[in-house]
Amino acid sequence: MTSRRRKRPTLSSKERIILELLIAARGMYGLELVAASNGRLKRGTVYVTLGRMEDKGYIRSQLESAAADAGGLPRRIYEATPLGRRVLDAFSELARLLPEFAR
Amino acid sequence: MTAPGTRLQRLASRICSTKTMTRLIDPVIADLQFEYGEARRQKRTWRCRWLRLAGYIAFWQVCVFHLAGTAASAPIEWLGRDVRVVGRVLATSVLAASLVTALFVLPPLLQLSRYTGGRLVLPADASQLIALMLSLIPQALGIGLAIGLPCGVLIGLRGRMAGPRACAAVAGLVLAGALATWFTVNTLMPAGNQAFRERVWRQIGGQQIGAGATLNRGPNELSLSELSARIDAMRRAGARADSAVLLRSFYMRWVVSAAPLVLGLFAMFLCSQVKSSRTSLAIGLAVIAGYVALYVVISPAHYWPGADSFTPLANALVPNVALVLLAILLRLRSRHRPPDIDAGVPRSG
Repeated sequence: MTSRRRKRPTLSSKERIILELLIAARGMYGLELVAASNGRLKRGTVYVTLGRMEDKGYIRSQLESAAADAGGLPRRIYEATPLGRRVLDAFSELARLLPEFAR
Repeated sequence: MTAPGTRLQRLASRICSTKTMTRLIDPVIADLQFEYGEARRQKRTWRCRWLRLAGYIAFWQVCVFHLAGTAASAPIEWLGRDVRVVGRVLATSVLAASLVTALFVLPPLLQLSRYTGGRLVLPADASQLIALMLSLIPQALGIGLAIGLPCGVLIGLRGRMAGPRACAAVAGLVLAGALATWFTVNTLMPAGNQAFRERVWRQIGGQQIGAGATLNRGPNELSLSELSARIDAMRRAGARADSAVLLRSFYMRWVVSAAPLVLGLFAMFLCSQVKSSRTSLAIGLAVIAGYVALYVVISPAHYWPGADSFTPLANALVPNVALVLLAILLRLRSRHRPPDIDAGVPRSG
């Protein structure tokens, strides 16, 4: 068999928080996510999680159109993809049906 | 004045890939610069300082998490389809080494559970039992790694056509096993043996042994450097016969340390040469058993007086050199075989 087996979608608790926030706000910056999470996301780990979620195809990102401040790098804005929305819906449904596994 | 994080970003761009820069480093620095700029516009000096510090900490955290993630996934990506073969070898090696270690821990414990000097030493309370077991594990672990690791390689690779990357990974594994054995045999074992002896000595002697009394260390309770110093002292004192016993013990430590590497490489090349899994397993286990039996016979305990006719160095070196030569021969023969089409797939037999 030469074709690679397709990976099952996974969603960690941090990824779930990010998806919920992104769907509610329709696009946020990394630090905005940290601020909106009420301490559930940390500054040092949010970017690694966002990068992993981009690899999985749950979110996409683009650079902001113009630098907010002269001399600064343009910020990266993140938004959920249709796949990310479907995965969140599926996991939310699973958590509703099997609450003992969602803790 | 440059924006905060500019130097860090430049430094990272020299080391990290474009993807890492785009996905991880640039967003951290961009958010830091944005927040810092906002605070600066509001002339909040302390907040500026705090944001700069928090941003730098976040930058290094991202680097550490990214490196940890890359380090964990890189070997798996590098091994590709061979990852299952290497995983199997690792699992069987750990299992075999654990089993052999347990087998060597049990006899002294069982022996202690009988009456010693008219008094029951064991079963003691749980803490005493754990302390005794912990002091016995180092001497058993050295032998467990020396025998278990090659057995694990043999069982794990049995019937598998391992690719070159799997072979490199297994070679790395047996080398790491040899280094771990060396550390165990020369550092942990002497300390563990001495702790075990003193514990049993105090348990048997009871109140008669004073608080400050110590038990002299025997050859198995000395580190390599201490053993070497004692051999030199004996030679200077003219006790050559006694020094020969210690010299055999000295070389035996090296033999035990080298065993995972020598036997492990032999097992690996044997599996690459012999097609039938049963045959390779039978030959490999026979060679490992023979190797162990040989060193038990010529061990410093003098099971075979004829061993004295060879120098301790020859006793230690000759069987190992012979096995290394045999492994090289197997390796050369396997290189002349036609290339395997499906690396990592099971073979029949």
